[in-house]
Amino acid sequence: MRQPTRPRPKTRLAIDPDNAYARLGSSPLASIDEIKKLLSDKRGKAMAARRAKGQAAAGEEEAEIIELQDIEKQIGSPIARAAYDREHPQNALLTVQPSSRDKAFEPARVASFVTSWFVEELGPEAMLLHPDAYWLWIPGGLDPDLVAQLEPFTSLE
Amino acid sequence: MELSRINWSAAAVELADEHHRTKTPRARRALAAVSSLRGRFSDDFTVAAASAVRAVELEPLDPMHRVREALMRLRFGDVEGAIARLDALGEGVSDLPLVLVIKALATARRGEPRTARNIADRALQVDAKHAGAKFLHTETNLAAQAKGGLDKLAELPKGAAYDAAWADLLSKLAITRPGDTRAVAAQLDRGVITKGTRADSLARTVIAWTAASADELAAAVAAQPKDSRAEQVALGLLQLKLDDDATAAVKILRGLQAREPDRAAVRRALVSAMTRLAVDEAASERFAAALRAVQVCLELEPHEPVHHQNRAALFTLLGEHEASLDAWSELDRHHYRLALLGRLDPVSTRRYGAPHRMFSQAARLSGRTGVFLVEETRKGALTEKELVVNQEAIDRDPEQLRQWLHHTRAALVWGFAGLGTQQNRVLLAPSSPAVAEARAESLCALTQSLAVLVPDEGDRLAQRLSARFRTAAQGAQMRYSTPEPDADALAVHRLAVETYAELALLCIRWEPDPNKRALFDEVLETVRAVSTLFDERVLEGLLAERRDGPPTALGFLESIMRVVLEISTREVHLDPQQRKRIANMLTANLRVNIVERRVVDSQSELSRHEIEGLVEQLDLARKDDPESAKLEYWAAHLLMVGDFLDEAVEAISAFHKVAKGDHPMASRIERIQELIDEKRKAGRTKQRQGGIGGAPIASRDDKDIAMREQELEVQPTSMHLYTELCHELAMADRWRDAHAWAGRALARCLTPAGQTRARELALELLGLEILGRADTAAMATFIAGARASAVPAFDKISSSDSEASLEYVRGLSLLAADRRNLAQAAFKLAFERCKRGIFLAVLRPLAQDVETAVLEAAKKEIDTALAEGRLRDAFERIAERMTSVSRPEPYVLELARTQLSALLPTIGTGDAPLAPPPLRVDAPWKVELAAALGAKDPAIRIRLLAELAAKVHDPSAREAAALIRKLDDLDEQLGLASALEQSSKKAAAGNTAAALEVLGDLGPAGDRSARVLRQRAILLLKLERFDDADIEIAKLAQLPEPLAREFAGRYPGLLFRQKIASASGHVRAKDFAQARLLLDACVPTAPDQEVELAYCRGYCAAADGYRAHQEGDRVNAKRLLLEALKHVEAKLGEARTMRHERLLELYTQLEKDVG
Repeated sequence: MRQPTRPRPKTRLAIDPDNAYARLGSSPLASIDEIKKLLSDKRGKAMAARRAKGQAAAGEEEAEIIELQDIEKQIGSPIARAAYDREHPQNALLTVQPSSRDKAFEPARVASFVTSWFVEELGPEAMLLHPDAYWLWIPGGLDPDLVAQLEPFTSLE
Repeated sequence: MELSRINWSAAAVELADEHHRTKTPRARRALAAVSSLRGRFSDDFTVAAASAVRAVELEPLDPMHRVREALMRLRFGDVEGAIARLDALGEGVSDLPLVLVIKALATARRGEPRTARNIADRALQVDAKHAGAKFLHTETNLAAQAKGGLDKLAELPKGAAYDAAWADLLSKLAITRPGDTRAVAAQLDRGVITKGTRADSLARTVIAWTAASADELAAAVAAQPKDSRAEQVALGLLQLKLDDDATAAVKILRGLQAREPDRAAVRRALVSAMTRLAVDEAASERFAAALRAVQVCLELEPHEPVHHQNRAALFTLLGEHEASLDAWSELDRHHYRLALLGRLDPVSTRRYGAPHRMFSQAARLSGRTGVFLVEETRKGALTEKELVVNQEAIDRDPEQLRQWLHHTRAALVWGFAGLGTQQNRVLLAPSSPAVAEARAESLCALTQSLAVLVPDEGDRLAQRLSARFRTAAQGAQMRYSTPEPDADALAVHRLAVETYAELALLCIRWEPDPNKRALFDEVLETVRAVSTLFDERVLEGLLAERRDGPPTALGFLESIMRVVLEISTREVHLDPQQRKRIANMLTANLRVNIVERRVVDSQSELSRHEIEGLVEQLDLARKDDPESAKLEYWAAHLLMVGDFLDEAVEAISAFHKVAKGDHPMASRIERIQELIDEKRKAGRTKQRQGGIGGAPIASRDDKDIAMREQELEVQPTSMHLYTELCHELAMADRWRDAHAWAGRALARCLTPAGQTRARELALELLGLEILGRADTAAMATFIAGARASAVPAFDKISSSDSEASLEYVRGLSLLAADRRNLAQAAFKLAFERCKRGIFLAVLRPLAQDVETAVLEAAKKEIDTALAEGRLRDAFERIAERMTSVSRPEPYVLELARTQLSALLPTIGTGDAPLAPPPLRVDAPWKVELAAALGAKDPAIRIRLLAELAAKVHDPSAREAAALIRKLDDLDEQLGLASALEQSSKKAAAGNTAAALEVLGDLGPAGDRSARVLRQRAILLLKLERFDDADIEIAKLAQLPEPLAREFAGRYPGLLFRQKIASASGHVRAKDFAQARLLLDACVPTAPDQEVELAYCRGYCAAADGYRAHQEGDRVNAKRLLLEALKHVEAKLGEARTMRHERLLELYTQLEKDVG
């Protein structure tokens, strides 16, 4: 029997312009902190506009606040966002993005390489904030009894 | 002692041996210490992790081992594991400064400097002089703020012991806060690090690099040893330097790579820069340029999935549909290869499943082309939304449904694979071994979609995952309570239940195209596979959660569950049998739907062969759901159409048994009963080979006599089974049993056809027993179907005093060998010698005229040839018979029938149908036959042959008349098709009136055709003859076809849009009165249409108002503008929600002008 082949429908794959990220004006790859900040900024502006208009405030500000609440419900917390992304993977998949290995070139990561380099250059005895540094492993130094027990296993080279 | 020079493995082995031998606390302490310290010096995570665990086991009360385990995890990059272990430390230990410093370090590595600073602060509160805590606090504090805070540096301790910490801190500050480079350099000048030391030199190098140009940094990279940390830092700084200009970064790194082709770190940096360039280009919507960059990345790093994904995304964004499908397929292939290499952790499986979920979602609901559709119905002031099957879209592009099906299945497979191998998780806490096995087999069935989506790799992966699922099912036990599932398992279970709900909707509402049988089978198989994953409690949870969300099929599934299982209580707990019953009902309904569509599409013009095939489908459906009234209705309908009247009556009886209350099909079943009665009066009845409820497919392969006997107890009127059983008993030399079963057939099969067949069988068995005594091989050959082969054996048996039954069998053999005269003589002899009255009815017609039997046999052969499309064979058989039999008249009808079968597939193709071969018939009507065969038009040829058949052979008259009627219908259909084609051409040319005129005079046939009525309605709408269009739609709504139903459902929306368009035209022409009339007659069918109508009314009034203003009529102008404002204000809220910009603009304008 002929093996069925991969489906090739006529309809094109397209991004949903009304997805939560698009409505917020954020990238689907933004961090949760960035999303929270954007939500907070936009909500603040809408509230200020409503306050400024007072009684004369039209539905526009109300509608924006309601929409922001809706967006927050969808992507405003890590759990809700994970569920939303699971339901709508196309937002991230259709965004051209760097690989996780590219994070190695972010300032904080480059800075952390400096510490690793210094551990190599200055030795693990140096007081460096690195998990290879001895001061973290043996804060009070080695027990003399243990030193004696380890003596036979020390190579001369 | 230099710790790095200790052979830790040897020490661990030796100390373990000592501990084993001596069991002293000293040996245990030493072994624990060596085990935990080994985590610092081992480069193998497995060894390090096992040693750390060993240390904790040996000395559980020494917290240092747990702290070292956390440090070991941090060394290997498992930040979460490290923090989890530190959090698990007991009170009094977790607040130690060292523990807090390590926790702060891990938290900073997780990218949370603020939290890390707070933890370091806590450490300082415990020990204000802790140098490590001080440096970490300062570092995280400065990282958490973009500027300022450098005064804190003064509080840090100084001296040779802190040179390294200072060098590290100042270097990091120079990198993360480039604006403070001068201040940082000033710290160096102040001598916070002892001058001339290695630490000082390193800090100065890094700080100098941060201020260097890109070219200087590129030179610095080349100057560092290959694969060193220094090279990594210099490259990182080069990237940061060119962070704002991806093009320049690519240029410089390309040059560097050309000079240093062996440096892997440089290649990596180049790819990173190219990816950044692709991201920038894509963000500016220069997708082609982005694609070029991604292609380079793919060449340099073909193993990296994200490049494949970016490539597929860019083809999609470019709108290159075919290329994007190929690219997504390549991404899946790449993922599957990684999975085959063993990368099956939860994060990876989630990544593999994501594209499948995307494709599944895209096919599920995508405007008007998705498999499903959200339909809005107005009920008073409320608008109800419902998820419905998009029949039209599936018919137009069945691949869309396949996409939904296979990608949903694949997404489910990856979801389950990501749950690991633990039975409770991957098989959703099965309640019994049987449930575990059923679920595992279902998952194995679902994996087949991987092979469909990615041939080869998918196939191998399906096998591997199937083995994994089956292993998980092993050792399952009965369970009397269900454990709470974790979040991931619940999410996968929910996806399975949602899929099942949508499959349920398909099973009930979708009308599968009978020509797309493979698609139907794929859906059926998926329903069966997903059904074992259904759980009513998960459904309940989903229903509660999704109540206010977009419409789903969950409520539909709940209704089905309650109706099928007759559940009225609020709480529902199903057992496996009940769940199976739901699945069986769904699959049965789907089978009935495909039969229904075939019958409706064919307008009941089905060949006998096809009717039998469809009834077999219904038999299969009946096995799944024996209580379906709809099934029995269609069985009765088909059996009646095929003249299997006894079985049709049985189906009607079954309908009444299962139909509850006033069933909507009751009146239709009564009509079938009337038609059966009419046909009976006309003497038209046939017997289907398998009988109703028969299971020919299953039983054909079953050669076990006992099994067959059991089957007959269940289906006591199946002559097909009696014949097979008796033949098998005869072959086994169990003649007494064979005759007994033949006797039972006589007593049980009481329909005329059944009775005749039973008598034939009884007589044939008697004759075969005699033949078997003389020649067993000949008897066996006869039973096997090669009747003609038994003739030589009969030649050796004298007929002078033979039994009637033997002569009957002899006659059958001779007839098969086409020795008709001898056969006739044998039948005559049998009739004369027959002493049992019941056999006379069988023998009399044969003795009188053997040609009746010849004709029946020929008809069977012709039917088979036509069913298999062997038209030439059918014609040749007829020609051969017509020239050899003494009465060729009945074969004229067969000629007409075969010619019609040849004509039908050629309609619309331009091909000439196969014509009958030349015939030489010696009969008084040979001239008329020649004239009929000579007709050039095949339709005329068929008509003349049918008329001739009716004239020369009375028994053929009825069938000939039916054939002519069919031909008339065909002419009518062809006429309609031609008119529709002409009309479409004229409409496309813009001549709407002429297009309508072509369809004007098609008589009652036009009023019965959904396509014609639809076309007329569309044309009338274009001509703005709305009332006439309504009349056509009223006719269309009466028709049963799906097309009619679908269009009638869409019509209100079309009418609305057309009226709006017409009104707009009138407004532009300043004919406001006519525009208002049209707008008043508009009936919106959805909220967006209400807003659109408000806008149009407002716009019309406003345009009228501005006209009045121009003419100087200010009073009227103001009145009209206020009226316009009233219209738009009424829908302002909805317009904002829907972003109806035109209404909002009009509102702003009106407010300004009225103000």
